[in-house]
Amino acid sequence: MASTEGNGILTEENFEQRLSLLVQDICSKRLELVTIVEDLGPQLTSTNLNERCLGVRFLANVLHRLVGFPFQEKEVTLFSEFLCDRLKDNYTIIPHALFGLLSLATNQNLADEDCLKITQTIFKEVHVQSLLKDGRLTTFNLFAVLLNKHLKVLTTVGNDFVFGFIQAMDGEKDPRNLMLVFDLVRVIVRNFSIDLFVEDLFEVTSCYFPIDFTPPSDDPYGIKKEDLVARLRNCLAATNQFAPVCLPLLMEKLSSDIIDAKIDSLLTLSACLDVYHSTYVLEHVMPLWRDIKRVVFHSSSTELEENVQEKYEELLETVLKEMGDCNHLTGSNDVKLIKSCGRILHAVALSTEPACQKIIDSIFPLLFEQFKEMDVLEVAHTKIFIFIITGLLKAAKTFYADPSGGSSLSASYFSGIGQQGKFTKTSRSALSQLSKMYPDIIQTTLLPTLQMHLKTEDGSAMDTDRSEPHTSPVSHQCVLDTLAAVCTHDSIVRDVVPRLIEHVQHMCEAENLDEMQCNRVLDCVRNIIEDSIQRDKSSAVYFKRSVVPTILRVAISRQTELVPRLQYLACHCDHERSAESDELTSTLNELSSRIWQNSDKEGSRKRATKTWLWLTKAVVIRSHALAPKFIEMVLSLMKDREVGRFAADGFYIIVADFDEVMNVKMHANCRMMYRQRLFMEHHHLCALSHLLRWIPKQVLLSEVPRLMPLLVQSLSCDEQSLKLSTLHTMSSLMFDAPEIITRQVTSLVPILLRLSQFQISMKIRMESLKCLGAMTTLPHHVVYPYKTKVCKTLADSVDDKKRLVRKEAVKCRNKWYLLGSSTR
Amino acid sequence: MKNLKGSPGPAGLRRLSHHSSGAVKETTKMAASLQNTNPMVFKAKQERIILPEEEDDSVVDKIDEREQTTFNISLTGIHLIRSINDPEHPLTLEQLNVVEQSLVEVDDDKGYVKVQFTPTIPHCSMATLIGLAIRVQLLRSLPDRFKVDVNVTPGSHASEDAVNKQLGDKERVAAALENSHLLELVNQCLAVQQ
Repeated sequence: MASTEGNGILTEENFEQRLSLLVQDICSKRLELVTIVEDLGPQLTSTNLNERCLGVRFLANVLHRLVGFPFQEKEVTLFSEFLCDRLKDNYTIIPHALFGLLSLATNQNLADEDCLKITQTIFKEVHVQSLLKDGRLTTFNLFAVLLNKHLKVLTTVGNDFVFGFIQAMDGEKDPRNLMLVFDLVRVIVRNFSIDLFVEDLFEVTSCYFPIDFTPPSDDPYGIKKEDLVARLRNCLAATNQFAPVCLPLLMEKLSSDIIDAKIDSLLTLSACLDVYHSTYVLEHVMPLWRDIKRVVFHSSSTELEENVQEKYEELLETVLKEMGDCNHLTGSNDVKLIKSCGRILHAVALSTEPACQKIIDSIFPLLFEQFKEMDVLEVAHTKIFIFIITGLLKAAKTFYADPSGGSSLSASYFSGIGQQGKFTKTSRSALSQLSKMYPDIIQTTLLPTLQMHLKTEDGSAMDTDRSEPHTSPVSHQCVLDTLAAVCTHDSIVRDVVPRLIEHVQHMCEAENLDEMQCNRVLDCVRNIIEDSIQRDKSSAVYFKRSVVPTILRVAISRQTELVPRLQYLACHCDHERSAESDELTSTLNELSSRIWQNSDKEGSRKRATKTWLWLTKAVVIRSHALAPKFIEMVLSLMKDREVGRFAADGFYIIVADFDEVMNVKMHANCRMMYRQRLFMEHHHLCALSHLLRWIPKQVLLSEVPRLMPLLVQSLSCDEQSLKLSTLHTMSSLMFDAPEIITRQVTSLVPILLRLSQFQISMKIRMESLKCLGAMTTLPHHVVYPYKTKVCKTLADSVDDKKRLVRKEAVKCRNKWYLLGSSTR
Repeated sequence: MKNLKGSPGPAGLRRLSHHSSGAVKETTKMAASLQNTNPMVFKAKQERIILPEEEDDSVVDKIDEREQTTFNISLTGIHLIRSINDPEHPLTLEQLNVVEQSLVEVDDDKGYVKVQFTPTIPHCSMATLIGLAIRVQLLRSLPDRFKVDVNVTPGSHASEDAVNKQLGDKERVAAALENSHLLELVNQCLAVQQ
């Protein structure tokens, strides 16, 4: 009976009716599948295109309706072969054949061969993009079903499938189809090897980016732009293999003028960063960073800013991952990587507070973890890690005045570094940074460790001498340097300095005193005090009260060379000088008596002398009332057979400038012209000047460089005879030691010009003019710059009231006028 | 002042200066291109003796005709320009009697100096240069308050007026000294013989 019903001609009119009847019959097993095909035979094989089309369509619909009605394997093959055949048919039939295949694939279990046949035929016979949009949708749906149900089989022909798919989707425009296509791309990328087609696949996918789609108001499918955007983003972020091609694209779009595009780029970037390996990201990290920054700074969109925030975090996580990866790697390559990671982290941390917080929360634990394993790693690694940590701490400092969260971490960091025992330069600077923020932690954690080191180094110095002669002093120095570095805060200073002094005392009491070591420690103390005073002058009071007496005690017990320097540094740290001059006097008196107390022994007498010399320098510099007494003592010491020579040399100590101690920089109370005063009182300079005049030049010349500053200064003093004899010396030196005079020209020219008008003495006027004239014999480039000035100033001298002066002035002036002409 | 006929002298004549006692007048045989190959050489004036009051710082010394020392150049009497070298001869102007004390006039109070110089031969083409050198030397050696006149001794040169006019024209003197080549020549004339 079914056949009777089926005997009628299938037309458009009875299509639906017959379809439902047939499906019912089949489902109720009243009709065999074979019968249907036989019944449809005439239509399916008709030469009339419309007939054939109708037949195929009918068949496809039958297959579509037969849900939950499993065919036999043979039947499935039969249908699929037939429909595949139809794919070669007229273009009007293809969509129906595809629909049939889709239905078949959906409702039945395709054999592997059928599955392959179907895909191959489609790729071979069907030009997907010339189908109408429904046909294309059917095709993509078919792919989706096949991928879903027969993925394994399809992967065996992976490259063919991927290639076919790329061709099929290339140029798709319909949003509904694209939704599906994007999903498929993702599936393909996930499951197939796309090595050969990375760029092609990326190209056909990325060409939609950024998506610009405004759905029509009557869109029956209700596709929104966001859906498309999200799907495409998933595609781009589907595989790491896209990274090299995708990042440049994203960077380009980041610089787009359209805000939407920027946001999309950022979000996509963050999605991508989840997937992309950091190696690729790092390649582009700096430009990326720049772009992102630009986006942030030049945009007013809050949405954008939020996105950027997210972006930071993504970027961070990537970097984090990279750091994790680097953990077990070694080699210069990775050092570079870590370094760039560090740079990024720093930059990111500096950018915003949340970013900084995030870094501190998430990265520090990781860093510390790695740091603990650092023994195995090379020094370079250690350095970089410390570098990173320091950078981050600096960044953190800009945001938090008192970051409580970081403190526990820092504590562990300290102990980490402390245990390492490798106080590299970098770690020192790290600690220094930290100490500014967390003085408490420094005090509680670091200092005990360091002191322990100091003690053990000290104590074990002799034991270790044989085995590792170099390590001991080096690390000792390291500890000291570290201590000096962390003294960035008053409270630390006040903790460290007594410890160090105690250490020195301890060292001094030891039997065989290591002077080098001792000096190092004292140097360290000195540096700390210097820095501290530069930072805050008020701390000088503290040093005066607590440090000076202790050091003095140490100093007097061991009159080493450095101690006196220190002690006077300390003395002069004070800024309320006038207030404590009595105090100073009494200290001095006490000192001067004690210094000579046990100076009978050979070595100690010399030491005492040295201490005395420094003391003398100190009192002379500040023109203290006791200065003459001290000088007298030095002079008397010169007669001493043992230390006489030493005392004589001591005048060098007294008048010379030292960088380390007793200069203005150190807040020493330097009175003006203390040297002149010293010599005025003792007429030494006069003597010197006279000596210079008559001593054989050969003897003199080697000493002249050191005397020169003194001579120049003596030209400015009041004593006429001194001036005159110095001028004599000068003019002879112009010829004998021109290279030395040359260095003083800058100061000499003004002085001599001034003296050329020295009204009180015509002799001085004449001598200075002679000197000036002699100056023209110096190297041309040295004196030529002064030509105009000198010639102009001498215009007054040629009108001097004294003929003899005029004569010299004219001589001199003419010499200067002739400078620069070839006559010389 | 003795006046000897010049005879060929040694090359060392260049060292001859007004300081050397008995600085004998000699001529030197110069390159044939010289205009006056055989000039008369006169004895230079002695340095003036330093008087006690000149060493007294409280006494004011006026600038006078004997200001030789002041001007270090050997214009005698004015030894003002005494040691100016003749551009053609390695002798000073004084030795050639181009300048002599009697032809120099100095008035310190009025701030006026007048120098007349006598070219060695009437056609001396160097007259202008000599004049210029004298003028420059005076400018450099005298205080600014002095007005300086430099002229050729009347009747001693063929183109006397032209030379005088050139030397008297401030603008032209200034312009001449802007010329580095000319200035170089002048400086050479003024380079003091050590």
